[in-house]
Amino acid sequence: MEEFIKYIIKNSDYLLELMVQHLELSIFSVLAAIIVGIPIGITIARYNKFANITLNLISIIFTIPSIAMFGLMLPILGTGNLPAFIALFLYSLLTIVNNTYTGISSVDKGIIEAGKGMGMTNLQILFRIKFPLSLGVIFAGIRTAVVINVGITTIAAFIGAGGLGKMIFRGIYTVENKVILAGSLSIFLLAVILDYIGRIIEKRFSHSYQK
Amino acid sequence: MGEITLTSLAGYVINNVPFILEMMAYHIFYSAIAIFAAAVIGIILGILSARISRLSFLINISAVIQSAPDIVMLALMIPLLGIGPICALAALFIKGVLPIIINTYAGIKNIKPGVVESAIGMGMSRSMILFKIELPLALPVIMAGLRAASVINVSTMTLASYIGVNGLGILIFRGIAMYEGNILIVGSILTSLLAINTNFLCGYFEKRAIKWKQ
Repeated sequence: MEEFIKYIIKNSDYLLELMVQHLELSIFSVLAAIIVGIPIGITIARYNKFANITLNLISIIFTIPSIAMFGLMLPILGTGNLPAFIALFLYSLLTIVNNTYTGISSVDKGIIEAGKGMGMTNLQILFRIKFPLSLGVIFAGIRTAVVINVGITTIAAFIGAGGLGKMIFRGIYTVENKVILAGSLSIFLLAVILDYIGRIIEKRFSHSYQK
Repeated sequence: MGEITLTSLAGYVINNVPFILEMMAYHIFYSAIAIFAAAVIGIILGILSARISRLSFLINISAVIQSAPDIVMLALMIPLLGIGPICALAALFIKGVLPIIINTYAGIKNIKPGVVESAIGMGMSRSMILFKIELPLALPVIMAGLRAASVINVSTMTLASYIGVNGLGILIFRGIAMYEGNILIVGSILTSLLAINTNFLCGYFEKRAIKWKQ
C-alpha cells in the first residue's frame, strides 16, 4: 500500500502528462463527433425514411468491440493517435446521432404545431423550439460518449496512442501491480468525475425547460 | 503487415479451422458462465433492492462502478486474482451483473402499484406475486439488461486475451504480435460477428418477451 502511494507521488508528473493525453484524445474526438453528429441526427429526424437504416447501421457498428475496430484499422492506418482518434470519433458519433435523433423526435408535437400556427418556418422551429427542448437528451448523449471514449482511449494505448492506458499495459507487461493499480484507478476516477460533471451540466440544460 | 487479400484471409481461416473453433468455443463458454452467474445474482439482487428500500444504495453503487471502462475492470482484477481465466471471469461477472441489477430494479419498480395491490387483495402470497406478476411484467426490461450484459461480456472477453485467456481475442493479439495482418483481420471480423450476433440473438429474445407479455 505504501509502495503504491510512493509510486504515485514519485511519478505524478508522468501520470499528469498521460492524463492530459488521455483527455485530449477523448474530448477532441467527442467534439468532432458533436460537429458531425448533431446535424446528422437532426437530418434523420426530419427525413424519417433514412432514420431506420441509419440507426440500425449505427447500433451494429456500436456493438463491435473496440479492440476489434482497432484491429481492422491497423493494417490501413497504422499505429498511433490517428486510428485511435478515428475509432473514438466513430463510437461517439453513434451515441450522439442516436441521442440527437431521439431528442428531436420526441419534442411535444403540440408545441411544434403552436410554432407553425405562429407562422414560424421549419428552420425557425428547429432552432427555437426543437433544439432547445432536446438539449437535455443531446447532452446526455455527449456525456455518455465522453465516458465511453475514456474507456476506449485506454485500449487505444495498446496500438500506440497516448494516455493512461499506457500505464496499465506497462504494469501488466512488467508484472508490477502498483503500476496497474495506478493506471486503472486514475482512469476510473477520470471516468467517474467526467460522468458526474456531465450529469450536473445535463441537469442545468433539462431543468430550464421543465417548469 | 503481410499481404492481405480476401484469398489470404480465407486461406488463414481454412488452414486453421480447429484452432479458430477452439478459441471461439472458449470465448462463448467463458462469456456464458459469466452471464449465467451474473444473471442469477443480478436478478436476485435487483429484486431485493426493489423490495427492501434500504438496499437501494446498491443501485447507486452499480451505476458508478458501471462507468468504469472494461479494461480497467480487468486490470483491477489482476492484482487481486492473478493473471488468468479467473480474473477475466471475475471482471466479466462484475461488468455483467451491474446492468442486470439496475434493469431488474427498474423493471420491478416501474410496475404500476395498483397491480401488486390488487394481487395482495386477492390473497396472493408474496412469492406468488413475485413469480406470477412482478417478474413477468418486468421481463422485457430484464431481458434488455441481459442483452447489454451479454454484449459487454463478449467485448470484454476479447480484451482478456491480452493476458493470455483463450478466446477469439487471441487471434487479434497474435496478429499484432506477429505483425501478420491476416490473423489480425480474421480475429477482428470474427469477434465483431460474434458481438453482433449476440446482440441480435438477445434482441430476438427480448422482442419475444415483449410479445409474450402482451
